Amino acid sequence: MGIDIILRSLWIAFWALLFGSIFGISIGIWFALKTFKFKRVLFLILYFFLSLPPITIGLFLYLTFSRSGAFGFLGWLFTTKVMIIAQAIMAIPLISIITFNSLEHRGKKIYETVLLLGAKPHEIIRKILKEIRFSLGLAIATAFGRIISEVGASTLIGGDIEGKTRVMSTSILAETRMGNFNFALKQALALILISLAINFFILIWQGKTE
Amino acid sequence: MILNAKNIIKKYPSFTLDIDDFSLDGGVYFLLGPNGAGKTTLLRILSGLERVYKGEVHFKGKEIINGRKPFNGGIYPELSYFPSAPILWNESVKENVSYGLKLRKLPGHIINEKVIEISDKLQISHLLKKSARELSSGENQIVALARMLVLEPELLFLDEPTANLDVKKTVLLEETLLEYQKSKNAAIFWATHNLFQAKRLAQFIFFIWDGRIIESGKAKDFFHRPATVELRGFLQGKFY
Repeated sequence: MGIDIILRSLWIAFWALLFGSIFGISIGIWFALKTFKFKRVLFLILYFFLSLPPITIGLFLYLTFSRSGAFGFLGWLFTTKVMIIAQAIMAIPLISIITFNSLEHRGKKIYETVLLLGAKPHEIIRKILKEIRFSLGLAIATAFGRIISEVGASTLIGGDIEGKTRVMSTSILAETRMGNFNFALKQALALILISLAINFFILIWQGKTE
Repeated sequence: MILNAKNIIKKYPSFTLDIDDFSLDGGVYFLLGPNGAGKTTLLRILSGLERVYKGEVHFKGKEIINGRKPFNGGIYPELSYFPSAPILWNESVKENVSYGLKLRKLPGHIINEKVIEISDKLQISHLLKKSARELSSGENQIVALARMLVLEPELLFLDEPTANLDVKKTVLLEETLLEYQKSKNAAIFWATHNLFQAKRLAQFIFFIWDGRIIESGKAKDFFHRPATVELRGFLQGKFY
């Protein structure tokens, strides 16, 4: 069944989503609340990253983390660390744009209202997050779907090394190529069930907080 | 003196707000003027929501605005601002009204008492369990007022607070605010272009025109002896 592959996939996706959410939500809130120079340019860059094929992110990271690259000295190529970075880069623009869109019209008003009621900065952030919890759920679910099923970058920078960097999406590809359809189908089924479960939990969480 | 403002200047590319010295004490003050005169800008500046180019503001002797320095936000919610279209959280009405009290970390039973008291006063007790999303725009306005008044601010900046209300709710809001002002000796600074409302409620009126307060005085004299052409025109309904 490849339990280790499933656990590894979830482990990588978890950290990628965590970093992606921290950066993505912060960027989205910042864009929605602040007016600054080059905001439109930065926004265009975000959209550019959103539409960037994952394989190009993989290629960029491959060159950066290969022995002759800027971060080659870290020795992270063909490890799960660089796979987490790649998946986080895929998640950040998606999460930040959805966060921004959900706050574009109400964000400043929420901020000012909470501030006037005497909230401290951390209480303001908590209230903003609570107000956009439905959009955040959507953002995280969509980002999860994008990164868990990604193959190109994971193969390029992870190397699909058995017992080390093989994840569900790359194993489905490898096993199908080898004609091991039974294993590939089981992995695909596991992938579908996990995606359904995550969406289910997000829906339950949204329902509870309503 | 609750509020003391000195020479506030805010510059925009096509508009400059230039307000001479003025003070507010316990009472109902109206900031009267046509649309685009600078009422909202002045209220937002005094509430710390907009930076100034120049000027000083003291709240109960404490400096809260000085030139371009950051606003001293530690005075919230003693000082409060009510926008013309306030927003409510995507939660129940009770959660909305009690939010500020919870920030103060008051005991649950005191929060409950205060929420019930203000809800009775503003006739929204039947709405407490409802989601704020289900409210009409008028109910939304009254609940937002309850959320502000339950914190018992000493200085209230109100920006066209009855703009979206029907007659019944306008009367309720006006009466509640007047009663609140008397019971707490609070200062209410109420911006509007509604002449009749100013006539009904104001004790003192500032008339703002193109970013400057060009006339001010006690309400009883204000409408009878306008000194400027602008105010005369405004009172005759030429400008709105």
